[in-house]
Amino acid sequence: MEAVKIQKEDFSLEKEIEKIKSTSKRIGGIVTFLGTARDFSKGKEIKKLVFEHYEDMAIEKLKEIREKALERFDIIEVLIIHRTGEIGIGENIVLIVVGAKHRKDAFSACTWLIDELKKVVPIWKKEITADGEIWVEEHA
Amino acid sequence: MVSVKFFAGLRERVGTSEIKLDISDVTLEELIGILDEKTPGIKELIESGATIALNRSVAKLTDVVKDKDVVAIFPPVSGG
Repeated sequence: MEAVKIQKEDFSLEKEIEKIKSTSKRIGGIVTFLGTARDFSKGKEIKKLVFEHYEDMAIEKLKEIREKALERFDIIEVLIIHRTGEIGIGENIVLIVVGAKHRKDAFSACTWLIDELKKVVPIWKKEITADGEIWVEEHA
Repeated sequence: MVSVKFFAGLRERVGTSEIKLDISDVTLEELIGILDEKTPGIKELIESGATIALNRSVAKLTDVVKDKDVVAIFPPVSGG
């Protein structure tokens, strides 16, 4: 199983959840976070998003936060996918799947992972609006 | 050669995604000074909140850059 991925293509939640399930029979709870592209931000209508990433470092950082989550929380497996390039409104952006024996650890790890991803992984979002293009350069 | 890469909004403001410098054994602070001589204004852009990574790890201005190193300069990240 490729545990962290950055890709242009969309992903299937069902397939990714199946991958996590197949890693261990000890898993009793799976928590997912799915980030999607919304059509409105700071009073502006968004037409689409464009994501850019620093390829080598982004993959390393994703691996790093996954490893940290596996150490910090009582969880069994973590899978992270972030899309890059152009993303239309309503489309998937990021998926985090956490498998654990119990739900509480899976919820805590999943929250920690998305917060950490937004802080340390070198990926940037550009919002394409009717008035122009804006790079988002602050934590949301 | 040291490769200096720029990303996202900073790449657009600098006007290029990569600058190659024939330098070695200088601190990142000195490297930024050299960049600013080539492209005036770049120092101010970097000082207004950019992150500097040296060989894919977040670095300090006192870190020393050697031949074949890769420096990346980028604005606050906004993935997710």
